[in-house]
Amino acid sequence: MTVINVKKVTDNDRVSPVGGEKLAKKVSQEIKKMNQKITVDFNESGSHTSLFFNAFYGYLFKDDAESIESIVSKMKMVNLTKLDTGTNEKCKENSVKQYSDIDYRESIEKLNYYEEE
Amino acid sequence: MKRIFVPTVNDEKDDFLNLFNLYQKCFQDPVEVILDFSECNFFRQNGVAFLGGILTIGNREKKMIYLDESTIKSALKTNLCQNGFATKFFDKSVAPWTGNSIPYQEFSNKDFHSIFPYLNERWLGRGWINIQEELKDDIVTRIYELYANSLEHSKSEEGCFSCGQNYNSYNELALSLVDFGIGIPNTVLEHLKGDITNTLDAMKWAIKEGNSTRKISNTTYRGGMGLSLVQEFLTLNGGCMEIYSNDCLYGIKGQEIYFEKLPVNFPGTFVNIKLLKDEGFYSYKTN
Repeated sequence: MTVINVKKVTDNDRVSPVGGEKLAKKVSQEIKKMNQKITVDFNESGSHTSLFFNAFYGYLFKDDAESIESIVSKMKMVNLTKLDTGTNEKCKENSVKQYSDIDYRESIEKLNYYEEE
Repeated sequence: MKRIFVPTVNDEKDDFLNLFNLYQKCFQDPVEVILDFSECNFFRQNGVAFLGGILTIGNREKKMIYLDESTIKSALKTNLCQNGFATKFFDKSVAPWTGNSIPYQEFSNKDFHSIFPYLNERWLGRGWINIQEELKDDIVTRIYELYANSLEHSKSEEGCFSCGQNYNSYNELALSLVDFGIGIPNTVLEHLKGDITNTLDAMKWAIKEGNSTRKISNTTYRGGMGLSLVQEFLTLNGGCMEIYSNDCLYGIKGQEIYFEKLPVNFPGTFVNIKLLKDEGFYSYKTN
C-alpha cells in the first residue's frame, strides 16, 4: 500500500491552504496512478488548520464530484492528532456536502454571485 | 491642533469602549491631533496594538497624529520600548528587547507565513506557561486561524496589528489582535443580503459551526469554522477570549459564552485572548 508522508509532502506547512493543496495533489496523483487504497500518514506533522483541510478536500473534490465517495474510500488517514481528528471530519463533511449536493452548492454560489455584483 | 487624552487601558469592556471612542475622536475632525498620555497610568497590550493601528491609518490617510512623548510615564515608555512600539513610532534609536513582551507586530496580506512563528515562538514558546507540547501546538494552530480570518475577511488595507504581554503579577498571558476592516457582523450582513438584518444575529451567525463568508468562486475550497473551533478549544481549556466587532461583543469565559450589543460602533475587529498561568501543568482536561 502506498504511504504518503504528510510532513514531507507539505514541507511541514500545516497551517495554510498551500500545504493542503500540495497534499491533495500528491494524493490525487497516487490514487489515479495506483487505483488502490493509499495511506495518508500524519505522523509528527502536528495539528492542522481548517484552512489546510478545506483546501485539501476542495482540491480533491472540485473536478471529480462524481467520485467523492470513491476518493474518500481509497484514503486511509492515520496518526492524526486528537484535534485534527475533529477538524478533519468537519471539513470533510462540509466539502462532501458542498461538492455533492448541487442545491447546497448553488445556494452558496448564488450568494457569491450577489456579493461580486 | 486638537489635544486628545489617552485613557488608562486595561482589558475590561469599558476599556475597549474607551479605545473605540479614542479612534472616533482621532478621525472625526480634519485637524491635526496630539495624543497626550498624562492621564494614562497603565496601558495594556490591547491599547498598544490598537494605537499602532490608529497611527498607521492616520499615516495612510495623511492625517497628522502625533504622540506627545513627554507625557508618557516612565514605566509605560519602558514597556513601549521593550515591545518595539517605540522603535516603530517615536524613537528609532531604541532597539526592542524580549523581556515580558510579545512584540508589537503588523501583519499584511503578504505575511501569512509570519503568523505561525510569531505565535509559536514569541507567545507560547517562551516557557511562561507550563504547557503540554501537543496542547501548545493545538492552541497556536487555532489562534493562527483568527489571524488568518482577520487578514482574509476584514478587507482592511493595513492588515492587522498584534501585541501581547506576560503579566506575572496577574498570572496572565495576554494577546491582542486588531484590524480596522469592515467587521464581522457587517461582513455577514453584506454576504447574506437580507436573510439576517441585525448585527448581533450576524455575529452569532459568524460564530456558528460551518458558516463562512469566504468566496468559493475564485478559490477551490470553502472556509468556515475557524472561530467555532477556537470557541470549542477555549471552552474546553478554560481560556478567555473576547471579540469586539462593529457594535457587538462575543466572549468566552470558561464555560460561559455571551453576546452583547455595544453602545459604540467600531469599524473593525478586536480580539483579546487571555490564558491563565496556573501553578500546575496546563493541559487538556482529559489528561
